[in-house]
Amino acid sequence: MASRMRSAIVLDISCGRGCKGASLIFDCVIACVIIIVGLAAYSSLVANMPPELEQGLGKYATYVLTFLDSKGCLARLIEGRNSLAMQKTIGELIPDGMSYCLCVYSPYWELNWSFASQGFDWRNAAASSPYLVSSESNPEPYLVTLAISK
Amino acid sequence: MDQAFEAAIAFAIFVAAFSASQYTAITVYESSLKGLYEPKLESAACIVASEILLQNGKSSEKWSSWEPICQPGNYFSPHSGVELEIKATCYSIDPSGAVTKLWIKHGPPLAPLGRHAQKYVSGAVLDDGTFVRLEVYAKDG
Repeated sequence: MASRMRSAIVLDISCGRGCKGASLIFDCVIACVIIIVGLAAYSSLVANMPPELEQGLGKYATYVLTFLDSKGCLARLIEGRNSLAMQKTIGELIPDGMSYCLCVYSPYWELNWSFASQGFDWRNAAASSPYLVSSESNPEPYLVTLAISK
Repeated sequence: MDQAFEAAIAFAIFVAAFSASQYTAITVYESSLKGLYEPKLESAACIVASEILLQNGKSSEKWSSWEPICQPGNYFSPHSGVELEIKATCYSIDPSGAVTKLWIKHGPPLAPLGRHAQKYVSGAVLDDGTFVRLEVYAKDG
């Protein structure tokens, strides 16, 4: 190891002025490569960060559930489990270009069933507060959440 | 001759590496600026939507006489130089679950802001049982 270092020093001394310039440029290239690697790592970290959940969309989903429940339609939709009716009703109220997922739970938070529209992605979704729905036919109420994704 | 050739190659390598680092730096700077700017536009849209919802409340009469005003100066939004687009849609629902669109108010009608605008969506259930969906788009002017 020591002999190698010595020969490198000897080489450096024997190189003269031209070699010093070349080694300076080489150092600059190494520095640039380090900058590129650092910036690329930082930008990939920033790009892969999960997007923040949108509180506004979650609130909007709660308003949609409140509206649907105003004439008892939500309970009928849940009991009917008719995906076509759901698409017509909920799909109309969701803003263009967005998808939704309706989840129905028992009072003990066991998932009874769920319905998701095409393109729904939980990673970009914001959900409503749990909404309590009761119906005449079922003595136990349902807990319903509506999630909207961009 | 050899030394000059070596120096030219070394300089070319340096220029290439330096340009690549500059390009990466500018790209990262742009993406971080975008990350700073998007929440600002979304907060501007949120302020405008909240103000409209506060003004009209749950009154169906106020909503039906309301017209969207898209000049940012009319709102308390602290962000100047923001272009606004406002769209409100009113729905009614019958007991069978059929949703009907009652009206749409859209302003400005001829200049949609496009997909680069940030959107904020809110809603309100009105006193007559109808529902208003309010969408506000904000874009850097």
